[in-house]
Amino acid sequence: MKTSLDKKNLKHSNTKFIDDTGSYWTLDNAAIIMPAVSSKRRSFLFRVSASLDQPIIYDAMNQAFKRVCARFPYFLVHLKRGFFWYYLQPVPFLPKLEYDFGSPNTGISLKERNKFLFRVRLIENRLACEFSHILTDGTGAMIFLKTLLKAYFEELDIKSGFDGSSVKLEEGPSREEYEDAYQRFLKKDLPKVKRPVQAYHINSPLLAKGQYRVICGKLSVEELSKKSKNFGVSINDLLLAAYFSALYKARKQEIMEKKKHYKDPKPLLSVEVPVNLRKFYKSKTLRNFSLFALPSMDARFGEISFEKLVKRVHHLMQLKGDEPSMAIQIQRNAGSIRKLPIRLTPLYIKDFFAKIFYNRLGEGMMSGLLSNLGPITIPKELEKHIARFDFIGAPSTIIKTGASVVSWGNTLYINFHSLAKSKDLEKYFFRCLSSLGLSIEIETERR
Amino acid sequence: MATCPECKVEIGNAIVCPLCGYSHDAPEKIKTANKGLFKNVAKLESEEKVRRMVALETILVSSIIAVIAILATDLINNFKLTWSLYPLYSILLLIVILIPLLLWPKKLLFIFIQAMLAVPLYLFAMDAIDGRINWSVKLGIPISFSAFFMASLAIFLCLKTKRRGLNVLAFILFAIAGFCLTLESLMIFYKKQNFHLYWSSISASCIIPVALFLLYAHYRLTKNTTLKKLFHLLALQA
Repeated sequence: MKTSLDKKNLKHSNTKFIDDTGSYWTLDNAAIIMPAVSSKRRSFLFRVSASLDQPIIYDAMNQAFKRVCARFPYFLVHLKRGFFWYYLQPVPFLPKLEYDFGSPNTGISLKERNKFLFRVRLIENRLACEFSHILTDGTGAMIFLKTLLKAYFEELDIKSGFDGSSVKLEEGPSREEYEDAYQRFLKKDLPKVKRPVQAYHINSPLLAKGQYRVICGKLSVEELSKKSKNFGVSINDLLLAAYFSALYKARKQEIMEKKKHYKDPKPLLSVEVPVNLRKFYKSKTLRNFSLFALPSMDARFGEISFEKLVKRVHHLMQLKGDEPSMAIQIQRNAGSIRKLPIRLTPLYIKDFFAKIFYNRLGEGMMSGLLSNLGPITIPKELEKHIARFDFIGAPSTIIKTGASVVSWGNTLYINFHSLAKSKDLEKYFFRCLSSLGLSIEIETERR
Repeated sequence: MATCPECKVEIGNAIVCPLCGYSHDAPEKIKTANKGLFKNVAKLESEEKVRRMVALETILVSSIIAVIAILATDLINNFKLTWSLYPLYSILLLIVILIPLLLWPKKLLFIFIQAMLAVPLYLFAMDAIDGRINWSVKLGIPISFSAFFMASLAIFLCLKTKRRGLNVLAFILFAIAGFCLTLESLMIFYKKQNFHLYWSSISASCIIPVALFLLYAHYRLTKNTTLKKLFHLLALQA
């Protein structure tokens, strides 16, 4: 039995509208703020990529790309400015496959008009899909990538079964695929989100414009799983504890090196851990549908032993990464844009306030990012053709350094992506893991 | 596979540890912290700086040669500085404008302000060569200020706009129309005539409608948009 809230939620979750010029899409709740606060550096682009066992055949990939693009019409859009909101204008042509040259996740600015919000780049045996967060999140991008891989292998006469990890090309997109799921699962009368506290940020100058450094650490999933079981926590908790340990050390180093008249860096250490809401709410949406848990520690209590740190992180994640915590965030974010005064505020004014509040209430609360897409699955027939998957998060001028994790087979790939000149955080993180007896292989620029 | 003894991580075939900069070939650390993965940008920047320095040197050397030639000619013929002051001031103005442009090409505001101050000074100096101040204070300097003001207004609007196209042309036309009006006004004041705008009002009345149409075309016609899309209020139309 549908309640009036359910009906209202369903109505608000619609993102596709039709007018005299055809259809157009509205942005989902997570994407609404992004155009206002984006810049050339803060591109909101993230990357999922797959390295194949053989060099990619361009013609086959091009054919596959054309077929796959037609299946995802809600990605074939340009960002446009309305009077009250931004919207996505469908375009009747396809983007071109690009050569994967230069830094990842840079070069597309949301300020530039008439540009696609995603691109597919090729180099040798690597296929990389870079998506703007305006379109989708890591899960949606990964489904696109897997669908593209499946279509590519079909072009090469390598057939595979359907395992649910991609979408069927022969079927059209369902309404649920492009729904704003935040709106559909909004609950009301929940407690309010606590007032955020500004967190510590690494004090480092930024790299030159156009540069985005990626350092990848490869670990054995088996070893890591064994180690985390010893601590009685998940792999993610263990990585998060290492991240906190690195933040503690980076902050301590900063205090030791600081000049006399400088203030101490902020004491709160918080790490953003994106949570896929599809595991709590049944939605097939390929738009954004993730929020984050924000475990925090106060450095004024001093650095604690790693064992204690792991336990603390584990319990914090249990508390802050559960469904009620997410529902509270959905209520705040999705509920606010339903308010008539906000809807009637012109976009210029919204943009102005978005810029002010984003730094303070958004990334200002976070010292770092640890985004884990988890283990990747693809149809068995294709497994032997894929050497590895990678995931590289979007650049941030405030957090500066973040980590994106993905595992394929028995290897876990931790990509530290950074706009900061300093590599201290990466150094302390991997040193912490190696001190646990884990063997780590470090890679930088892969060509 | 090589291992960094400090970080205890495998670094493959890398010469230095990507994390701490330790080199297994040389025992001392190599400072790599300030280098990004993609070093081409930094290299390109330094090459561009070298080119700018070469251009600056060329301009300075050729200016010095020209100054020596002008001074020598004037002094040989007249035994004092007469006509040579005109080209000398002009060369000085050129150098004053070009040096900051080549040294700090990104500090556009500074360059603009510096040029805005240098040009009136140049006009004043040119006027003062014959020992009397005639046209510079009442005509030359106000005209130069009005030209800079209109140009800065057009540049400001162009920089503020997010989508540049026909609107840039419109802003330039507005600035030209504004300059024409102020130019004629200043000339009337200088000649102490009755204030009545003739040619500038005709040119402005031709230019402004064209500029307005360009703005309309830019913001309304060239976008594939409808009022529904433009004024979409989310679920009100769901």
